[in-house]
Amino acid sequence: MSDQMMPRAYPLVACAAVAGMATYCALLEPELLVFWAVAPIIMPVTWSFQTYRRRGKQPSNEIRRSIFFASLMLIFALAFAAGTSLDLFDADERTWASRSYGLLMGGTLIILGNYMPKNLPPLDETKFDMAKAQMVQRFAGWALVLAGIGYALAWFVLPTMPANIIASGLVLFATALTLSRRHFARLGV
Amino acid sequence: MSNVFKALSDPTRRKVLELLRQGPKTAGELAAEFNVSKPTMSAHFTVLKEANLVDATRNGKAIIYRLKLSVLEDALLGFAEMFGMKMETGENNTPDTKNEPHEETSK
Repeated sequence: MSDQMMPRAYPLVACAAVAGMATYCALLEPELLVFWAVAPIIMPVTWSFQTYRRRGKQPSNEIRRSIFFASLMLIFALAFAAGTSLDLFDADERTWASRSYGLLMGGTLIILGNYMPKNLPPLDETKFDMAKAQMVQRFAGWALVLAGIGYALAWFVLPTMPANIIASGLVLFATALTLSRRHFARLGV
Repeated sequence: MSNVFKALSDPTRRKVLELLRQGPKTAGELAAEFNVSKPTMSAHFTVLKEANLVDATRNGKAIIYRLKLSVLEDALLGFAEMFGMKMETGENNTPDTKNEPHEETSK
């Protein structure tokens, strides 16, 4: 991969496309609203987070690339899922579409989590002790990668309904764990 | 990726990364942990920076080093520590032989 800086608009447009595609899928299948909501929440939030963290500083090319390629994977899966909802595919292919979306979503979480500890905040913007900030950031990265592996595995081996619940539960658990780690780090524990 | 393996192949650089796991440190604080010359230490820092494993920020007169490991690189560092990885990279890692005896006592 070349080290050329990816233009800022690429990941931004890709995130917007993911949000648009997921909203369309949610309109087609409102009963799976929570499932479709994962992508439009995670991608724009990740983009906003990295933009906020890097404001006024040199942006991280790796994070931009991660967000862009993760978004492309999701757009592919969402397009397939939308096609299934529109009866362009049969029932088996529909299950395959859900599973591919779940696997790609897990892969997305792994990619984002992997690069999370590399996205360092500027020194003067750390809200609390730098060592604690670094520890929480590493913890968050590991939690997201492990949750992503669990998410993808759940969609790979389990039936569709429990896979949806267990995979979403893993992500929520990892998020709660990270938030509590951050809280206790602030308290000095 | 070869830069990362090259950086992790040296015990001194791995020790630097281990120290940075505790939190950001200045170049002086890191150098104080090793019984090597400033140019040698500087060369190690350069290799780590080229591999994008550390971030160096000037803060007044001091340079503050921070860990910049992805989760995969963090895991690789853990494996390298566990198995005492010593890869042949074709590079002349002359600092190794000078540092190894000192590292045992530098904790």
